[in-house]
Amino acid sequence: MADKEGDQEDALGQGLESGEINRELDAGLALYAAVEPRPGLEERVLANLRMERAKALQRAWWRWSLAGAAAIAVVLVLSWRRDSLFHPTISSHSLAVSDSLRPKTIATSDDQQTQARGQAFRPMPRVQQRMRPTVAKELQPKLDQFPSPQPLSEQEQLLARYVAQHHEEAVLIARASTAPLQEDREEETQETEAGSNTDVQPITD
Amino acid sequence: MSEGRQVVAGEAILQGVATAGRTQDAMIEALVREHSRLVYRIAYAVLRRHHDAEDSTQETFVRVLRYGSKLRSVEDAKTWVARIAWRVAVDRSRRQDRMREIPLEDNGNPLMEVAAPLVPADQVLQGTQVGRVVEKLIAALPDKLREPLILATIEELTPREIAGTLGINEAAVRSRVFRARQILRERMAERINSR
Repeated sequence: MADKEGDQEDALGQGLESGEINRELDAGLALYAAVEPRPGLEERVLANLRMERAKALQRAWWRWSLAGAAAIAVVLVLSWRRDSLFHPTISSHSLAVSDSLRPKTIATSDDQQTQARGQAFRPMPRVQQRMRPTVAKELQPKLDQFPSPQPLSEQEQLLARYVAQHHEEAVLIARASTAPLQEDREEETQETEAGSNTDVQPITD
Repeated sequence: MSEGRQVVAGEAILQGVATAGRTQDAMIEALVREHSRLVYRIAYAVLRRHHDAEDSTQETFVRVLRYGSKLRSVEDAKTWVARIAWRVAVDRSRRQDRMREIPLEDNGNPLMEVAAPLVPADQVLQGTQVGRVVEKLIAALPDKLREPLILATIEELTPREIAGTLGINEAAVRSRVFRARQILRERMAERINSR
């Protein structure tokens, strides 16, 4: 009987204890998130959003302007490339000097050789050296394609018209102009043949 | 005639765009006015600092603005905003690594703020102490149990909205909150018995 009463007291005590714990826990949990923001939170948030919107607009404007500039640059590059493909360009190749154009030295004696070498390799004045390649380029432009696909000049057109209208005269003029050249060529060939005959000596023991 | 029609159509499109922009702005403004307190409370429940909670609230609504185009397709705007607020606060908390750190002194103590001025001083002190004990006990809970319990303490959120915020089902929310409360009760009983 006494044990029963003791158990009931314990249960009652435990019930009170658990009730107290529950109350404290509920109070603690209620306080955990029961917080109020500082007054004017909404206004601050809205002001911040307005600022963000303005920033986003500015960013978009920059992005579009950059994209536009890039597009213009691409168009310019493409048009420039198309122009360079359809129009011939005079290339600035370095002029290859053939052996025939180089100054020849005749070997007679040692003194003459050195003198000739000295003349051949005499250093040019600085100004002349600097000017030389540009002048040469201007005088002898080397085309990538020859003859040039450009349209005929006025003089060429006149000439073509003359040849078409007065064909016989044109032929006569052409023959007359080429006759001295042919004579020169024939003389040259004769000279070279004669020279080669005299130079070659029979080998004798 | 056709040009006139085109001009009218163009003006209509521009007006439509402007109206859509205005509508979206109005919707966002309405969200701010309606849910900023909830967002703040969620942020505070995670971060436990007033200035962090306010920064988190600002960041939440900036994200809402960024995802404004999705706003029309959102079914439950409150849960949507709560989910964004939760993610922002948790990210911020991870960055600061203050999830389990209880500040010793916080000038803007929420427990003092909510305490009514007519409540006797001893009760205020007792309430503050209980609040701190509960805060420490909650911080010691595993993440899985702590997260739904934290959200459950916010009176504006129903278990269904908590489930939507955390991306779990409602039954899981209920069972986790029950288990979390059980653990807290046991630990509080241990503290009382040790007194």
